[in-house]
Amino acid sequence: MKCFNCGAELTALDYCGKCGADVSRYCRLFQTSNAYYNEGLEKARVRDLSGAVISLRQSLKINKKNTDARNLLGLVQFEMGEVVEALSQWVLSRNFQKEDNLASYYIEEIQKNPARLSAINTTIKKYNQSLFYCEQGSYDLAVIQLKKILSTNRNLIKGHQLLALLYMKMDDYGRARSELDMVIEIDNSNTRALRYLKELDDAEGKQPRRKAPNPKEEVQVGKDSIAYVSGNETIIQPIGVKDNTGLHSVINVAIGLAIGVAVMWFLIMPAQQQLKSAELNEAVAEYSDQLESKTAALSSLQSEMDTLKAESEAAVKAAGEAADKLASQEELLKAYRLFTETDMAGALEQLEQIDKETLTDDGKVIYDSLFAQVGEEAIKDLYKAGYDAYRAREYETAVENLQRCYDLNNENQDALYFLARSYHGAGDTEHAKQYYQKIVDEFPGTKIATDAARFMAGI
Amino acid sequence: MLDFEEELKKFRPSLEIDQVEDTVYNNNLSDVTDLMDEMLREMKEHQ
Repeated sequence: MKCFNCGAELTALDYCGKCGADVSRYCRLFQTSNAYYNEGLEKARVRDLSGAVISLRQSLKINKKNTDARNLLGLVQFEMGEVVEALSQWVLSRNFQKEDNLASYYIEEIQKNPARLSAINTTIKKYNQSLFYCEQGSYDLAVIQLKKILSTNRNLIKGHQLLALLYMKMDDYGRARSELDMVIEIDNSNTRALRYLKELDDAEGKQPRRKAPNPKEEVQVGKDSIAYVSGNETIIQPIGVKDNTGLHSVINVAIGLAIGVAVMWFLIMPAQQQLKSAELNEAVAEYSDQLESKTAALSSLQSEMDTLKAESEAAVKAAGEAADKLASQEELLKAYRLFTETDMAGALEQLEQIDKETLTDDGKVIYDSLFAQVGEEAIKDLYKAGYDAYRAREYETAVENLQRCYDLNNENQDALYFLARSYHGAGDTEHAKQYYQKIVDEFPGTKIATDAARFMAGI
Repeated sequence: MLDFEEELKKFRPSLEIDQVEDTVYNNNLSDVTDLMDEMLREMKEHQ
């Protein structure tokens, strides 16, 4: 210890041997600093790391050059996962005491293993990333990240605390408690962890937890087994168990086979069925497409066939009309030939067989002209033939000719009269009365009407 | 019950390895002995 006034080395006296300054209070400060260091050391030994940090910081507030306190503070911080703070303390310590300083050893140990240092730095970065996720509300991502960090750096207390807080937020109290238990294992008076545990107890409606039993403590459970706690799990292990390795192997193989069959049945078979089903659906879709295209083609063909059928019917009809026209033209020619042979009756008969509508315009003109010439002559011929037959008492022939004559010219009184007479003569009184009545009705006051009435009365 | 948001605010980003130097330089190393030295110096000046 050196004099604060002149820098001379101090002895056990209360004053400086060189300048005479009173150093009693100065020495008491150093003693107080050392007392805090001792307190910190005691706390660190019982893993009250938070308490140790407080005591050691107090020690350093009084005497910043207390390298033992600073080195221990670094060590405690390193144990709590605060590597950067630890390194800072050791660097400062080495700065104050360059020779024979434990801090040099710690720094060298860390520098000797750059891979480890890099891994620690990565965990720090990931921890900061997790905090960022939390701020963004991506709690699931933060939990995943923190789990990775803590698998690498198990002593990062604030990582466990943050993870516990997230689990509490998610109402996963069991996991939160597990994380907090890990914190307590590292730092058994960690205020934040204890506060969270109290909150957990309140949330779960439990009494405050008693101190956890020694993890390695084994308890006899019955006479055949013992139980011990590992982490949060109580493991009950049978003792004196008979070795049935062979039987177990067979059972294990059987279980393996059963699992294999189950996997085949529940995973592979449904997958294959799904594949087949997909193929079937694809084939059905393809056939459906084909069917639709065939249906469309069929519909098109049907439409085409209907058109062709209509055209064919039109053609047949046109052909029929042409044939009728041709036949009518031939009939007309035949009638004309009979007319030139002066066979008026034959010509008339031929003309009557012609459908005038089937003739062309020129044909109709010829037809009308021929009919006018033939009709007049034919009426005369028919009347003459009928009258001659009536005179010869050939009433059937007379009826035939006179009927045709009357049909061609119904104003011919004589033809009507002798037609009635011929019917009367042939014994067809019904027709005779009919025509007598017609004479009476159409030609009243004439001689033939008087005669017709008389003959009709005589029937 | 805990206020999650408030608790979350208490968590600060961790210092990274390359920030050790800054931490060392920015550390306030004044202790009680420094204060005492200063007080004695001031007393001498007043005398």
